[in-house]
Amino acid sequence: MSVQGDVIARGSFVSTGAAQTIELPTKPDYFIITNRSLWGTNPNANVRGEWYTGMAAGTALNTLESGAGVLTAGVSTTAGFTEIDYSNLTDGAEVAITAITAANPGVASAATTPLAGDIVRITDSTAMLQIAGMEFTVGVVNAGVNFQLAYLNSAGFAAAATAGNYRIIRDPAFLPRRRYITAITAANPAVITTSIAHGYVAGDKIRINVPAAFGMPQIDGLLATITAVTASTITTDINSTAFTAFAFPTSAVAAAGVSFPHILPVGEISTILTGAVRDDAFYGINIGTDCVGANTNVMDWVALRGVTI
Amino acid sequence: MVLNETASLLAQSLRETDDQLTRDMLAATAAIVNCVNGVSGDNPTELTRADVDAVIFALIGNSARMISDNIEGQDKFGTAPVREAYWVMAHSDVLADLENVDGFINTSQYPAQMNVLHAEWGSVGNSRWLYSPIGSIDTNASALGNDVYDCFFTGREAYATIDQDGASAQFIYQGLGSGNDPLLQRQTAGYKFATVPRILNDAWLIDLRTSLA
Repeated sequence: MSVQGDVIARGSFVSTGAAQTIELPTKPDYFIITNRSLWGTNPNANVRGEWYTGMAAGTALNTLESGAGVLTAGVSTTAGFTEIDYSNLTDGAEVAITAITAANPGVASAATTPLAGDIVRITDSTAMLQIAGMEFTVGVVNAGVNFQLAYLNSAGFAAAATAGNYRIIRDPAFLPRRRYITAITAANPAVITTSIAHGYVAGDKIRINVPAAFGMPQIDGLLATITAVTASTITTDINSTAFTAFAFPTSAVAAAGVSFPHILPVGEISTILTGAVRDDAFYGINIGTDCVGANTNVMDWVALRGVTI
Repeated sequence: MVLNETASLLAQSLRETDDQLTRDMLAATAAIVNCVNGVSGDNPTELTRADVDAVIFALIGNSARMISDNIEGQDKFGTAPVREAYWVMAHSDVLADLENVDGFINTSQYPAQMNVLHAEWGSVGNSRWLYSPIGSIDTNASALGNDVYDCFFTGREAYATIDQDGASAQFIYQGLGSGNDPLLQRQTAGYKFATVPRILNDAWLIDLRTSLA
């Protein structure tokens, strides 16, 4: 290896076989990962992956050890390394949607599908403009066919969307943050569903803002303390039994212009550090499945930064 | 010479980074209202006087105090009095639309220039507008997939930035031979700081989201 530079971080982990993100103290110029478990065992698999600054997302320079112990060079084009820089987050490319069902959950059809857990923003959703501009966590994916908008109940919408677009977006660093609301129960206690996994914890205090077009005006502007959470729901200390129903406006009303209902973090539980609004931004490297090793493999990595000549 | 230039660049970078961190906090945690009174057909629409007034009246309804006082009218050709105002922080891309908002007064038309900020573009009703090329943008976030600009209407003491004790901004210079440099070939200069930007009262700060005309 002929890389000049200072080691900015190094470490080891036991692979689960799934892609893994390593947080680093600064931007790396070079990253190398070696599979300690497989090295020298003739595994017919990648035993080392390398990344240099400037390489495209998802790429890697690999060393493959054959079943006969021969080392050969290879490359990854999609499942290698991806640099993560929260100061420079970029959206994915626009992808066409051919339909979104009026169902629970809504299902979007597209020839190119995102991955489960991705966050997508829907735009240009013809006949379903009440969600145009909203962001959603992706649920179950039928690759190349469709994907669920996991926390959207669009069963009450008047019509399915007949066209549209989506982009994969990155969730910015300040968490917990403002989240769009897709449902509120008229019950005791009121339970709020957010369009993407919210990141709040029990004890956090929130403000609930619901524009008139979405019904339930009685809850607009109220403060609430969170008593329980799931990934996408928040149980509040509000009794909304007597409130009018929360409902999305029609597509035509939305086309004339609406603001989206949302919750804000306004106070935090003092006993859980991660309950506070915090900046989770970091530099890092995402190690894709070509380079992260198989389940239980021990992986050693080193990140360097040096002088560019 | 090189060190002086580097120090100047680092100073600019430090304060821009500080601004960006505050900007990102506001973008993540402020209440939002979309412009809905424009004619672009997008959601949010372009900026209009009705949208500006709606936010101002909402802040007044929330007992948010205005930041700047009136600038009284004077007998000067082409000038107009400026109302007491909330301050608005917006991206410089919004300025062309701002110029077209009913009742816009450019800073050059203020009766007195004493309290005009370097980054101020003008006023609309009870709002005075500050601009920056690093203002907040949600890319491709409108209903039609256009960029959305965050315009933060701010009342007095609506948010604060708190510097951590012992971690205020530091400029750090390391001469030849520091670190891993046995042949005296490298010098480094950098900065570090720790800060916590937070909204103090969410009812006193509203993010008016707008797309461009």
